[in-house]
Amino acid sequence: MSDFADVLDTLIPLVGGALVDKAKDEITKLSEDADDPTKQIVFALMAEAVGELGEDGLDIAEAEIKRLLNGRTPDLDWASPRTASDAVALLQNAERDRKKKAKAAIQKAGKVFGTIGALFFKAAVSGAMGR
Amino acid sequence: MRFLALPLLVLLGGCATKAVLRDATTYQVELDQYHKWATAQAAYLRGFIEDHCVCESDAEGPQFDDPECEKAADFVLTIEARAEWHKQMSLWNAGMLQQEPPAQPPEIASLSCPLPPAPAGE
Repeated sequence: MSDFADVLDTLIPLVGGALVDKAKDEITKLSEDADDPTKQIVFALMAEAVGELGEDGLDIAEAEIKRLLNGRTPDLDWASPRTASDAVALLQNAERDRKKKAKAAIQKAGKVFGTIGALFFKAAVSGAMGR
Repeated sequence: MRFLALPLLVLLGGCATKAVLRDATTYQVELDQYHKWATAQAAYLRGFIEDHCVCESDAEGPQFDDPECEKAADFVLTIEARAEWHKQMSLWNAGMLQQEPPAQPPEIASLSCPLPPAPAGE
């Protein structure tokens, strides 16, 4: 997120009237150069917000991208269908990863409880045999 | 111990992402309907674009003469490429699909005029 904040700090003074197109081009270039899919989507959303909404676009993009990255429902009406699809794919893949981790944790917990259960069972049986 | 359970549940509940519990059949039917609406509209829109939209002579910039055609074409290409993958992911995340979809969504064809052919099965 620090990259995102840096970009905003640099570009907010640029975004105004005639400089909107230049800002959009700069952010688009950052999106193309980004090595991480999340960064690519963030920059693509910012570029499209500036292109569609002008100088107000960065503020709106910042608010909605924060909602997206914090797991809340973003309003991406201004984004192109392909960028909006990328953002939804990001959320869907994040949900899949969370579920995989939860499933692995449940399986691990199941094994631990199974082991403890077996120990209690053995103790109960040996206790009963000893009577 | 039971006195601790309720405050603990409240505390843990605050950390969790909001989740919904749905009837599986209704959810599947809804999803099928939205998918059908999107893909059928995309097919009709493709026909309208092919019949009525004019290509822009400068291939470097916008591909269509009319900006509305440009936007419509972008929707058609996105829906044709991604609708099925998003639906599969919705079903997978709901635990309603046996085969896990790939992590990478399909590529969306670049915008061009005339439109590239629709993917097979569309």
